[in-house]
Amino acid sequence: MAELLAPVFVVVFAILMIVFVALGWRKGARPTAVRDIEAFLSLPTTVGQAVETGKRLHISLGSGAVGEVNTAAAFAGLTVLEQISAAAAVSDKPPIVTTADGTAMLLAQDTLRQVYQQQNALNRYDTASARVAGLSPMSFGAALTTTLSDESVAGTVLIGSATEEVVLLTEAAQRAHTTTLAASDNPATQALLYVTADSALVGEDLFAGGAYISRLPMHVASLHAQDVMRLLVGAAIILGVVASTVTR
Amino acid sequence: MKLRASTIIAISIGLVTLLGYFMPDLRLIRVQFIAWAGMLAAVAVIIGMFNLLGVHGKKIGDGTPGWPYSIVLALTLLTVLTLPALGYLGPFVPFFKDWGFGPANVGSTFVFQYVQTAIGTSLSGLIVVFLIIAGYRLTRRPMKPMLIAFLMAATISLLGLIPLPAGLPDVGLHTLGNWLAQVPAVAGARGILLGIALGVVATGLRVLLAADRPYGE
Amino acid sequence: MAVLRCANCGKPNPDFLDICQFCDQPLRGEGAPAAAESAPAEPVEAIPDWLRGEAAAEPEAAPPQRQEQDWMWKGTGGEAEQPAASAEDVPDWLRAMQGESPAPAADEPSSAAIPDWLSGGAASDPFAAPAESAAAMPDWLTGGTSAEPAAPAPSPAASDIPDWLRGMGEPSTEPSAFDAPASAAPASDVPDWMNSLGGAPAEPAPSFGTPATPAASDVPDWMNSLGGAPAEPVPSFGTPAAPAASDVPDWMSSLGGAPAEPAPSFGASAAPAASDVPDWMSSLGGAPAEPASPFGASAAPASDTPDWMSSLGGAPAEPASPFGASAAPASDTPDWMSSLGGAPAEPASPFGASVTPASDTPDWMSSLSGAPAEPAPSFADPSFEAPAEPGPSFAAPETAQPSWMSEAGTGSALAGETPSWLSAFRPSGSDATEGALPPAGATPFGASDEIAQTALPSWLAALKPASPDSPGGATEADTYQETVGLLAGVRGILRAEPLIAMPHKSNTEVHKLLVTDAHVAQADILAGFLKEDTETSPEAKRKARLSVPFERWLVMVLLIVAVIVPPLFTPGIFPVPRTINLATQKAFQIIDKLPNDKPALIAFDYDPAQSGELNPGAEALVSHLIRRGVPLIGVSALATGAGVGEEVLRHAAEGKYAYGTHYTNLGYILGGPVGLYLFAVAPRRAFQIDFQGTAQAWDQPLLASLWPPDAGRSLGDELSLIVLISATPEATRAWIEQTRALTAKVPMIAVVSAGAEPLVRPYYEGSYHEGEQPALNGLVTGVVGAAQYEQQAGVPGSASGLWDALGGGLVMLLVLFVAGNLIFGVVGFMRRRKR
Repeated sequence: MAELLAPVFVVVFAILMIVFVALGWRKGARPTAVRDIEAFLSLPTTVGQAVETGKRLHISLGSGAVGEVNTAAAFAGLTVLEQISAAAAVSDKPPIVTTADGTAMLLAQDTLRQVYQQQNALNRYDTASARVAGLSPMSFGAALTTTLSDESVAGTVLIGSATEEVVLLTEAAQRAHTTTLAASDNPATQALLYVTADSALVGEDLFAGGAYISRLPMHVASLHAQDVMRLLVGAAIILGVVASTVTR
Repeated sequence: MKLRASTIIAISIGLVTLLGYFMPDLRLIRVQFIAWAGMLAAVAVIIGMFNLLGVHGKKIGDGTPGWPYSIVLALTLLTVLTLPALGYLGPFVPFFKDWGFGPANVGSTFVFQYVQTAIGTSLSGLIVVFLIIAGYRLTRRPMKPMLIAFLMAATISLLGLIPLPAGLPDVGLHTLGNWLAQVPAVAGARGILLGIALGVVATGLRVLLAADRPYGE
Repeated sequence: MAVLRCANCGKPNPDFLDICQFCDQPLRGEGAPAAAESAPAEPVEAIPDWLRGEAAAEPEAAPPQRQEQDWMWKGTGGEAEQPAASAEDVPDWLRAMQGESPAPAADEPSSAAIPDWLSGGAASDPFAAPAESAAAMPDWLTGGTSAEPAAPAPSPAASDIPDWLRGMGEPSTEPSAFDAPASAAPASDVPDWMNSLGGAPAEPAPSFGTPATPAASDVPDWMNSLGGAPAEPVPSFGTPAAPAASDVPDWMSSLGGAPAEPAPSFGASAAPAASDVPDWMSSLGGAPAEPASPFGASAAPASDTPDWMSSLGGAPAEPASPFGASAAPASDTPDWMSSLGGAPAEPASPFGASVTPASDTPDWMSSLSGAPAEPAPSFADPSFEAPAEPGPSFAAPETAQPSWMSEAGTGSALAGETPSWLSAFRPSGSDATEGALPPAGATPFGASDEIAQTALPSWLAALKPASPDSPGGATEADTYQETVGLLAGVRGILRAEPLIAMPHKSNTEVHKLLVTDAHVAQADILAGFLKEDTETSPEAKRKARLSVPFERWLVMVLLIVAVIVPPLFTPGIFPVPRTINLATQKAFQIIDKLPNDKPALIAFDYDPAQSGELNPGAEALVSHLIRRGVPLIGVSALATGAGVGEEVLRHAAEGKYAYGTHYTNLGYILGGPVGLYLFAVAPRRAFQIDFQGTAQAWDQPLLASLWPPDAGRSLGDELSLIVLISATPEATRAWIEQTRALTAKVPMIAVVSAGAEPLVRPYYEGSYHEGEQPALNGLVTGVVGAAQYEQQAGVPGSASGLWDALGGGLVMLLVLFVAGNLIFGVVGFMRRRKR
C-alpha cells in the first residue's frame, strides 16, 4: 500500500494539471487570478530600467547543478530566463546569465539563442552571454561580486539553488546600487535573501515565475494543482495526527 | 505542439526513469540511464571549465574592466591543472620525487590548504560581516508584522546560541532558543520544503508533459 | 465678336447667349435684339484688348456639339490636318500655326469647338472674332462688335481662331458687357477662383501676386503660394511690349519674362474706379490710387489688370501676372500669347479692373482685341471712364494678334474647338453686348456656343493693374496695400482680419506688467532648464575616490576584537557546555560501541569555506573512530569536499593510521544523487582510482575484500557506520534518500551546520515506518555539538579551543543586531514622525 502512494500521488498531480489547463481553455473562461507576489510585481521595473539605461540585466541560475537535487530549481530559473530575456534582449547590452554548472550553462545558452532567434536578432546573440562564473558555490559567489561592476549590470535576478554565497552577490549589488530579485529552494538561503535582497521570494514561489511573468497556461495550471495537492497533503497530515493520537 | 526528436527522447527517458522507481522490471534500464546521466555530469564540469576559460580569455582580449584578474584566473587554473601531473617528473627532477600523483599530491594539497581553504574561510567571514550589517538595518524597512516576527525570532535564537558567561544564571534562554529552532522553525521549514517538493514535482511533470522544454526546441 | 443687345434692357450680351444676362429676357426670337454687330460703334471700354481683338477677327462659329477640349490635344504645329471631315477637329489656332487659314465659321463647324480666343482672326486681330464667328465668342471675351485690330498681324485663317477668342480681339463700340451696372452683374458663371478673389473695387485689374507687402489673409493658400515677390508687374501673355501686370501666374510669367511693374491686386483700389463699379466691389477696398498685388506687390500703377486679363478687353498700360509677378513690360509676354492678339497697349483684366491705356495690353491680347486705344471696360461699369487713349476692347480687333495667334490665322488656329469651360461663355445669340456677362444659367464648361466678346465689368476693370506709364492715380484714400495672394499689390481692399484683431501694440497702456527681480530670476531659471535640455554636456569625469566602507570596517573590527579578546585575555569566560545534546549523545554512543571489523564510511560534503564550522565536529568523530580502531573510507559528493576530507583524515590519522591499510579516501562521487545511488548499488563501479591517484584502488588491503565483484553486495553490506558531514540539508537529504534503502541496517550519523540542523532534525526524529529506526541515528550540530561531543568523549579538541572565541563572537553579533535595530528603528521612527 505504501509503495503505491508515490505513483498515485504523481498520477493525481498530473491529472490535476491537465484538468486545470483544460478548464482554462474553455470558452468564456475567466482569467485565472493569482495572488500578488511583490517580487514579480517589481520585476518589470527592473527589466525596464536595465533596458532604458542601456545596461545589462544579470540573470543567475544559482550554484545548483542540473542532474542533482537542485535540477528543478535550475529549470525554474531557465523558465524565468526565457521570459525576461525576451524583454531584456532589446537593450543595448544583452543580458548575461551566470551559473556554477556546465550543464546549466549549456541550457542557458540554448535558451538565449532561442530567444534571439524568435526575435530575428540572432546576429546579436553572444555565446559568452551565458557563462560559468565559478565551479564551486563560493567561487561562484566571489565571481559575481566583480561581474556586477564589470558588466554594467542594472539589476540581478537570481532564480535557482544557492547557499550562503548569495550574500556576496546581494552585497555587491547594494554597493553597485542595483536591485536584486532572488529566490532559492533552500529555506536557510531564503532567510538570508529576506534580509539582504531587495526582493526575495519565499517558499516555492521560485517555481511560479512562469505563471506570474507570462501567465503560461501550464504553469498557471501547475500552481492550481500545487494548491490542491497542498490541501490534500495538509488534510492527510491532520488526519494522520488525529488518527495516531486517537489510536494511542 | 511539434514533437521534435529531443522532446520525444526527453519524455521517454524521463518516463522510464520515473516508472523504474515503481516497476522492478524497469530497474536495470533506470540504473543505466542514471549511469549515463552521471557521465554527462562529469562532461558538464569539463565544459564549464572551458567556458570559464573562454569567457575570461575574451575579457583579456577585449580589455574589459577587470581583465588583469582574468589573467590571474587563467594562470591559476592552468597551474592547478598542471600540479597533479608534476609527480611524473619525479624520476627526472628530485624536487618532484615525492610529489605524488593525483589531486592529493604535494602541490595540489598545498594550494588547496593554503589558498583555497584560506580564501573560502575568508569569504565566509565576509558573509558574516555582511549579514550582521544587513541584520541590524532591518528596521530601516517599513515595519510589518512579519518583519517584527523575524526580528524577535532572530534575537531569541541568538540568545539561545550564546554560551552563557560564567556566573550568569540560565534563565531558560537556551531552552527557549532550542524550542524555537526545533519546533516553529522546523515546522515552517517543513512547510516550505513541502511546497518546494510540490514545485519540484510540478516542474518534473511539466517536463514530462513537454510543457517545459529547457533542453531546447 | 458679335454682341447681342437686349431688346428689353438694351445691354450688350455675348452673341452665344440666348437669354439676356441682365434681365433674363430672350435675346433672339420676337423679342430678340438686333443682329449682332460685328463692330461696336462705341469703343469698348473695359474689354481687354486680347478679348476685344477677337471681334475683329473672323469669327468662327463653333458647332455646339464640338468637343471643346479637343483643341488642347490637337497638334501644336506643323502641318495641319485638314481632311474635309476632320477639319473641325483641328483647332483654328493650331491650323493657323500650321499656316492654314482657318476654316470659315459657317463652313467649318469644327471651328466652333475652338475657343474663340484661340481662333480669332489671323489677319488683323486673332482675338477679333470674325463676323461669322462672332456668335461663337462670349461677349465678354469678344468685347463688342468692333473688330479693328490694333495692329496688323499675320492673320491666321479665321477658322483657326476660336470664335470666343476671336471675339476678344474685336474692338467693340458697344458698351462692354462688363460695363453693365454693378447690380446687374450676376457673375454666376464666374469661376470660383475668381469669386474667391473677393471681387474688386473699381480699381485697376488685380494682379495675382506680387508679394512685396504682407499677405492678405483672405487669399487662398494656393494662390498665396503662387505669388512670388517681384515688385514689378508681370507681363501678360502675348504682350511683349506692354508692361505686364503683377498678377500673371508664375507659370505664365515665366513664359514671358518678368514684368516691369507691379501688378495690381484684385482688391487694389489704385485706379480710379469707374462709376459703375458695383457697390459690393467698391466697398471692398475703396479706390486706391495704386493697384496692389494681393501677394504683396509694391504699389502698382492704376493699371493693375493682369496682362491676360488686360488683353482680353482693355488695354492696361501694365500687364499683370495673375500670380504675383510684378508688372513687367509686355515684352515678357510669351510669344504664343503674343501671337494670339497682338499687343494691346493697355491690357485689361476682364474682371473689372480699371483699364488703363492700351499700352498695358499684352500683344496677344491686343491682337485679339484689336482696339487697344480704348481701355477695357469693367464688368459692371458700362460707363467706364476711358483713359485718354482708348484701349482695346474685347471686341476690338485693331490690336495686333499675338504671334502664335497670328500664325494660326485670325481666329483660325483656334477656331476648331473651344474648351468647355470657355465655351460656356459663348452667347447664344448673334448679338453680343459689349461687356455683357454670360447669363446666370450658363456655365463655362458646358456651353457649346461661341464665346462672345463683351465689355469688361467695371469692377474688373477697376482691378486692372496700373501701368507704369499711366498717369498717377488718384490720391490714396487708404494706404493699406495687400502683399500676398491674388490681391497682392492691390490697395484699398478689405483686410482679412479686422484691424482690431490684428496684433498690434495698443496706444494706451491698459496694463503694466510688473516684473520683479524674482520674476526675472525665475524666468532665467526656466530658460536655463530649457537650454540645458537641448544642450549636451560631456559626462563629467568623476574623480577616483577611495571609498572607505567605515561601517563594514567597524563591524569587522568589533568582531575581531570579540573573537580575539576572550581566548587571549579572558579564557574560560564562556564555559564549555556541561549538558550534552541527546542527539549528540546518541552519536557518541553509537561510535563508542561500534565494532571495528568493518569500515565506516565518512562523507565529507562541505566546502573549505564551511570547514571552520564543521571541521571540529568532523575531527571529533574521526578521532573517536580512530581511537576505536575502526577503518575509515572517505568519500565526498562535492568536488572540493574530497580535498577537505583528505585533510581531515590525514591530520587525524597522522601517526596512527596507514593509508590504504587503515584508511583510504576514494574521492569525489560524480553525478550528485545519481552518483550516490550508483555508489550505493555498486560501489566498485563508482570508483576506479582513489583520491591519491592509486591506479588500482580496489587492490588496497582495506578495500580488497570489500564488495567483491559479482558478489552482488550493496554498500550497506560491508559497512559498520555511515557518517554524513554536510553544510546543507540537501546533501544530507540526498544521501538519505538515495542510499538509505540499501543501508537501512547501518547506523547513520550526521554532522551538520547550525543552519542545516532544523531541516535535518526530522530525519533524526522521524521514521518511515512504525517501529523502524529513523533515518539518522545521531546528530551533531556545528561547533556547539562538536564541543559537546568532545566533552562527552573527554578529549578536548578544536571545538573546545574555539569556545571562547565563539562565545565572544556570538555576543558581539547579538549586541550589534539588537543595538543596530534599535538605533535605526528609533531614527526611522523619528524621521517618519517629522514627515
